[in-house]
Amino acid sequence: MSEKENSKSFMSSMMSWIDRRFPVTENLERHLTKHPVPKKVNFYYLFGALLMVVFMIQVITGIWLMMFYTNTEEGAFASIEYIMRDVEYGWLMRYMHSTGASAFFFLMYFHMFRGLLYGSYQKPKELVWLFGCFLLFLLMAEGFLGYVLPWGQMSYWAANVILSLFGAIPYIGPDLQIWIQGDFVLSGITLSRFFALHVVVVPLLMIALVVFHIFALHEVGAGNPEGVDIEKHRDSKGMPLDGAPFHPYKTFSALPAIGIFFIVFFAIVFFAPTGGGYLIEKPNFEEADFLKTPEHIAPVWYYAPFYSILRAVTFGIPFLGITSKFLGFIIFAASIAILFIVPWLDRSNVQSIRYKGIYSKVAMILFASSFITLGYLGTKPVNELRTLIAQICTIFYFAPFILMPIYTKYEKTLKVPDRL
Amino acid sequence: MSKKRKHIHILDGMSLYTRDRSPFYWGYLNIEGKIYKKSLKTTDRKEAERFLFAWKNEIFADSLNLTDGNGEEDHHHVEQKPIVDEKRRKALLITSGLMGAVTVAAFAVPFLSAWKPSEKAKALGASVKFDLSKLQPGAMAIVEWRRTPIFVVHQTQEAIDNLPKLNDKVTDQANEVLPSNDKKFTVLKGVCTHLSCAPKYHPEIEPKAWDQEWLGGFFCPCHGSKFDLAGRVYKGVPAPINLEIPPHTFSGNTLIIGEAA
Ligand code: HEM
Ligand code: FES
Repeated sequence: MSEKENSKSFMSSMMSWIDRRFPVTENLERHLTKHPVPKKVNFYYLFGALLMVVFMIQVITGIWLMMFYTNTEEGAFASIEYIMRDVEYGWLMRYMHSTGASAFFFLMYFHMFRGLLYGSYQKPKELVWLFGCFLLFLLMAEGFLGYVLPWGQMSYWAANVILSLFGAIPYIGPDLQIWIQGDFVLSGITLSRFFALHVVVVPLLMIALVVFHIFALHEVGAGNPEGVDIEKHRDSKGMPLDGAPFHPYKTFSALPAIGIFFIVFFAIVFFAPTGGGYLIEKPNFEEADFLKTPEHIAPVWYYAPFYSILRAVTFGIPFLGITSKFLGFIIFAASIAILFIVPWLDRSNVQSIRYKGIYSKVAMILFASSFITLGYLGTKPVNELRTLIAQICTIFYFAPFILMPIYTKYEKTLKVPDRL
Repeated sequence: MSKKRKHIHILDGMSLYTRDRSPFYWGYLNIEGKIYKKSLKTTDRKEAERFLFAWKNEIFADSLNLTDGNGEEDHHHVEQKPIVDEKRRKALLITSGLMGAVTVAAFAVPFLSAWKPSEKAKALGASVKFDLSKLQPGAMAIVEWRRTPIFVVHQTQEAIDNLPKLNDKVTDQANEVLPSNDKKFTVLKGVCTHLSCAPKYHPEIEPKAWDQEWLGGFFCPCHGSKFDLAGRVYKGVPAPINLEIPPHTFSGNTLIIGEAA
C-alpha cells in the first residue's frame, strides 16, 4: 500500500484529478459498472430504458420544431404547414414528435402495468412508484399542452372540453378557467402560455423527476418478476449472488430492444404517421375555428380510457350541489389519483402476481380488460349502450384498487423461492 | 471491486485506499510519525472520509488521555459541542420562515396576475351590436361576442305556443327570459353547458333520431344534450343546466350583447 499514485498513465492521472473535484468514477461505479441488478428479468423490465430513449427523441425533435414553430394564434397553424412542406425533413421532425408522444404513453402504460403485475411498488420502492405516478401526471399534462399547439380544430375543441372541466369546479371554477385561459375564451393568449409550459416548465419538471425516479431505484435496488430479494444472498465481496453489474450486462441487453423499438417506431413514422386518425386526428388538419365545433370530439387514443370515465358519469349529486360535469371531473381525477396510493393498498406478503392468489389475478385481468374497453369506447361517439358499458368498466377499473387491501390480505399466496 | 487499487489523498498524513480482496475503503493515518491502518468497513467514499476523521480524533483523544492521565474533556482536539440557544434558534427560524413566505407571496402576485386577461383581451371582450330587422321569424343568427357564438333566435308564434308543452320534459321550467308575444327574440350562448361543444339549431317540428316528439330546439351532437328553443335543458341528458344567457339589452331594433339591461 504505497502512498504513491499506483497508475501513472495520463488518462488515469487525469481521471483522479477530476475525481478529486467532481466524483465521476464514483458515480459511474455506483450507477453503472458496479450497480447490481437482478440477473434474470423479462422484457417488461426494458420499458424503463425505452422510456428514456423516447424522452430523448421528444426533447431533440421538440427543440428542432421550436426553431420553426410560431406560437401565435395567427401563425401557429401555418407554421406547422410550413414545417411539413417547406422545411427540409420538417415532416420527419414533426412525425417523430407526434409518434413519439404516442410511443411515450404506450411504453409508460406497459411500464406501469409491469409495476402492478410484479408488485414493483411494494416496500421499499414506494417512492420509485410515486415519482413514476407524478411522471404519468406530467406526461398527461405535457401531451395535452402539446396537442393544443398546432391550433387545429381538434386542438382547439379538445382543449375547450378539458378547460371547461376546470370551469365546472363549484364557486371558483369560472374565474379559474378565465385565469388559465388568460381570456374569456380559449385564444392565442392561451396558446402562448401553453407553449411556454409545454417546452420549458413541464419538461424541466419531468427531467427532475426522472432523476429522482432513478436515484430512488438505485438506492433500493431493482426488482424482478419473481419478487425474490436478491440482497439476501451475497458473495464474499458483498455482491448479490443473483445480481449482475448494470453495465455491461443490462446496457447490452437493452440494445436489441432499442433496435426493435426503432424499427417499429420508424415504420409508423414513415408509413402511418397519423395512425388512421388515432395518433393525429383528421380535424386537426383544419385550422381552429371558434364558431364551428367538429361533429365528434374524440381524444387521442392515450387519453381515451380516462375520457371514457369522464363521460361515463352522467349523473350528479344534486343535494350536495355537485353537477354531473363536476362529478365526472372528480371521478376522472380519482382514476389517476388512485394509482398514487397503490403501494399502501397492497397488503400481500408476496410481490409478484406469480405467487399471489386467485383474487389478485382476477383483479388484474378485470382491470386490464376494462382499461382497454374504456380506451376503445373513448374514441367512439356515445350512445346508451356504450355509456352503460363504460359505467360498468369504470367500476371494474376502480374495484381492483379499492378492494385491494381486503383480497391481498386474505387470499392464499404461494411460497416465493429463496433464489432467482 | 476492480483490479485497480485506488489511493485517495485527503490531507497530509491522511488517506483512503482500496485493497485487492476487500470491497471496503481502508484508512491510512500518519500521526506524528506513527502509522495507523484499518478497514473502514464501508464502500461509500464520503462515509469513509467521515470515519477517517472520526478515527483520527479518537486516536488524538486517546493519546491525550494517556499523557494527561486525567481524562478531562477540555482538550482542543476533540470537537466540542456548540452551545445552542434553542429558543433563539427557533425564533430565528420562525421569523425568517415567515419573512420568506411573505416574500414568496409578494413575488407570486405579479407572476400569477400576469395570467389574468390583459387590457387588450378585456377590450376585445367589449359589447357588440346586432341589427334585428333582417332576422325573419324562425331564423337564427350567430353573432360573435368574446369569440363565443351567440345564438339570436326570432321565435315563431308556433314555437312560443309550444313551449309550455315542454315544461315537464325540461329540468328548469322557467328560463329567466322565456319568449312571449311581445318579446320574440331569444339570446343564448351557443355553448353546450356539458362540455362546450356548439349545439345545432333544429327548429323543425318533426320526429328526430334523438327525439320522436321533437318540438324544435337545439341538439348537441357531441354527447347528445337537448335544449328547447328557449334554451331550457331536457331531463336525462349530460348537460346539467340551461344554455346560458349572455348579458344583453335591446334598443329599438338593435340588440346589444355584453351590456346588461
Ligand atoms: C418518463 C417516464 C419514466 C421513465 C423514463 C422511467 C424510467 C425507469 C427506468 C429506466 C427504470 C429501471 C428499468 C425498468 O425497470 O424498466 C424504471 C423502473 C421503475 N419504474 Fe419507471 N420510468 C418512468 C415512468 C414511470 C411510471 C409512470 C411509473 C409508475 C407509476 C414507474 C414505475 C417504476 C417502478 C415501480 C420501477 C421499478 C421496477 C423494479 O425495479 O421492480 N415509472 N423506470
Ligand atoms: S358537449 Fe354537448 S353534450 Fe357534451
